[in-house]
Amino acid sequence: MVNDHAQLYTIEGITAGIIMLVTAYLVLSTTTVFTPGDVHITDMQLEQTGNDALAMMDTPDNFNFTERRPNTTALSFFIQQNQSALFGEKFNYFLNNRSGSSSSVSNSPDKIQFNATVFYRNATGTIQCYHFKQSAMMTGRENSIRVTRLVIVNNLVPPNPPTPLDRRRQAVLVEVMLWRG
Amino acid sequence: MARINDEAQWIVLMGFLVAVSLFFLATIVNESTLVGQSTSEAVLDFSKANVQDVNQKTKDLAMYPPFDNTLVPVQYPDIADPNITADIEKLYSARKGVIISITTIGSVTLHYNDGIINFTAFNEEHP
Repeated sequence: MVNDHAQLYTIEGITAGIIMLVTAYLVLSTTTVFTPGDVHITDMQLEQTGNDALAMMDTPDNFNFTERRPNTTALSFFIQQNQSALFGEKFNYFLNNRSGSSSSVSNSPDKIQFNATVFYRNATGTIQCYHFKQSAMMTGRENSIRVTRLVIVNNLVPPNPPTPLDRRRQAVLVEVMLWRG
Repeated sequence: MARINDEAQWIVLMGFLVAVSLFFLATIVNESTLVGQSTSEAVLDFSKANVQDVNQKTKDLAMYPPFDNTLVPVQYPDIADPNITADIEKLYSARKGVIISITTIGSVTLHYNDGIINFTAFNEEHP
């Protein structure tokens, strides 16, 4: 027996059904988007921090008026003199220097780890590399990103611990893997 | 019992309005993650750090005289050190898949192409 009673209840029922379906769709699609989006955002922030830290270390402190050029940068000096321990100390300071050093979690230093490699062009023109410094062992499963920096190295002065670099003025590429751990 | 009751229509209408506004809020939350993802993806794809690095090094080569182990002041060079430009070109091609060409005829000119970014920069020599 079809009659026209309770029309408002029917409309309400249909509306409620549509509301529930669309809400379920929104919730499902939101969760699928969240995970990759999250990784991209932290990757971007980590890359920016790493590039900034390398740029700070590759900025000359003062100008040499005798040679009419800026003085050697800290990064160039560490590579030329093969001072990987000094590099590690300074780089670690720039990466993890979050404000304050108290014991509270939000105010403690960051936990960014790094693995630095130096790439160079040898006398025969091929690209080779040697390991420079790492703050922790990589297992290979870290969600790491890569930052690089070209460094002009004046390798005419012999370094104290020898490096495989040619005895000439050259550009090398410092590659650093960064991850949080 | 089963008859149309036309009381409390404002309350029903307000209920609909609240439901609709909740939809809008849920949609905004959904879009915000997409915005964050596409923004950071765009930043990661557009490697501004590479461009800044290569451009700055090329400018330095054009502006400052080469290191000299005799510490005698050197006149500003007409051309950049060909060894260093070759280093930069080879390293970027091998490690980053970026084609770079630094020519030093007249002024130091940088050509850069990584498939997304493609530009030519002319660096004036120091007078």
